[in-house]
This record gives sequence, C-alpha cells and structure tokens, in this order.
Amino acid sequence: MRNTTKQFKKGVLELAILKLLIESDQYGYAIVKMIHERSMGKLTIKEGTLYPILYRLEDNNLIESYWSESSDTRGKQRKYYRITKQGRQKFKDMYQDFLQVFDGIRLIVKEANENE
Amino acid sequence: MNKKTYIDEVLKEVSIPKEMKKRVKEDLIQRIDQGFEEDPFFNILDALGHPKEFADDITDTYYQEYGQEGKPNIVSSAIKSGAYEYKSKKNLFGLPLIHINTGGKYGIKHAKGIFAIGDLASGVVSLGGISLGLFSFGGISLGGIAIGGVAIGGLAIGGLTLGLYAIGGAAFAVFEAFGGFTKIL
Repeated sequence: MRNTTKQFKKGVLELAILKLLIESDQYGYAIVKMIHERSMGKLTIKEGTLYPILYRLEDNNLIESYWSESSDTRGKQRKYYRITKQGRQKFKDMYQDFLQVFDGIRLIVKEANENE
Repeated sequence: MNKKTYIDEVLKEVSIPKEMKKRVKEDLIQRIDQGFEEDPFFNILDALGHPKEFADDITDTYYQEYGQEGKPNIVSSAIKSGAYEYKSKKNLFGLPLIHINTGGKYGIKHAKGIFAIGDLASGVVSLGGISLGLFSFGGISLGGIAIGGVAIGGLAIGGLTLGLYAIGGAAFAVFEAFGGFTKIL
C-alpha cells in the first residue's frame, strides 16, 4: 500500500467505523467485512489495524462494547460495539470536517487542471 | 498453526502495554473461534496473516492512536525477535549502500549491498554467517580478503583457511601459509 493511501485512510477509517456503528451494533470481524463490501473494495482494513482503533474509540467513550449472543453463534457470546451519544456527535463533526477538506482539495485540483 | 500457538506468537511479538495485550487476546480468541464456526477448515494464517505481521500492525496502529510515548525503539524490537532489515535509500552501482538483513527466528535472510550485514551477506564489505565480498567477514567467509571461521580468499585469515596467502589454525595457500598447520598447494 502506498504511504499516501495509509495517511489518507487513518482518519477516514474512524469515520467509516463510526458510521457503520450508527447504523447498527457490530462485532470486529463484521466491521472489517462491511468496510470492504460497502466501499466496493476501495477501502480495506486488517484486523490488526482495526483493534487498536476500536480500543481508542472505546477509551474515548465514543463507542462501548458489550457481550451478547447472536443467532449464529450457537450460544457463544460475542463482543459487540455500539456507538455512544458522544460518538454520534463526533461523527457529525468529523464528517463536516471531511467534506470541507474534500471540497477544498477538489476545488484546488479543478482550478489547477483548468489552468493547465 | 493452531489457535493457541498463533495467539502466543502475536502476544510475544506485539509491543504494547499489558492491558492492551489482554484486549487483543480476547478479540483474537473470538475471531479465530468464529472462523472455525464458519468453516471447519479455517486457516488462521490465510485469514489473519503471519503472527509477526499481525503484531506489527497492532503495534504500529496502537502508537498512531495512542501517541508515541513508550513506543519501543526499533533496536529493542529487533533484539527481541532477532529479525531486522534496513536498506539505505542511497544506491551505488545498483546496490544499496547499506543493507542489513537478519531473519532471527523467522529464518535465514540475505543482505546484498555495498556494505552488507546479514545471515547471508554479499557485497563489497560483507559481514555474515556466510559472507561473500571483496572484504568479507563471517562464519564462512569468501572474498578478496576473507576473515572467518572458515575463510577462502586472496588473503584468508581464520580457523581453517584457503587462499593465495593464508593465515590460520590450518592454512592452505598457493604462495604463503602461516599457522598451526600449513601447506603450500
């Protein structure tokens, strides 16, 4: 993976994780799969990368974890993550920032292309 | 590789605080169990990658997320596993100026550079278990000037040596030999 891709992904992954958890509670591996599927393969995340992000979000009270059975776990408990009220607010703020930065870059690139 | 071995390897390699290791362990147990629930032939290495790579991902992301304080330096990590690679950006004659490559417990690695240090090393100046170079130092050493346990070269210095000129415990030379046992070939 290119270094620039790594840098771009850093903040964007947090945004993607918070968005998925706004939609529904999820467990770790489901988040990995959903990021890949929902981005049509354009974004991927390894579990080794995901876990520390989840831990930090949890430590910052943006998400919280709980253990629960699901229909496909045959009685086994699975750790789920859900978003908190602060997490929802954080997502709104981050998304606004993201759009602003994205728009800014788009305008710079557009202007540069027109001048070429 | 089974679940326990994989998790043990990851936890051994990962350089993060203890309480974080507990969280990683908990999540890995769940992930691997889930893999086997979905597929009895679940392959841990295929799904999660090599434990060292997994551990490195965790370590890198942890320090990105939580800040750099307490981050282990590269030297202590290398000492822990014995695996280390450094390749200088500067090249000379198509070779990196410096290449250090040791596999440690992950196997034998080859360093190739103007200055090469590795399990196997080849370069102008090389140092390694087995080394080949103009100036070569190693367990088994081949080169213009070779110094090693077993040294073969123009000038060979070591335990068992073979060269145009040889100095050693047992020295075999074309021109001059010095040492405990010497023989001119």
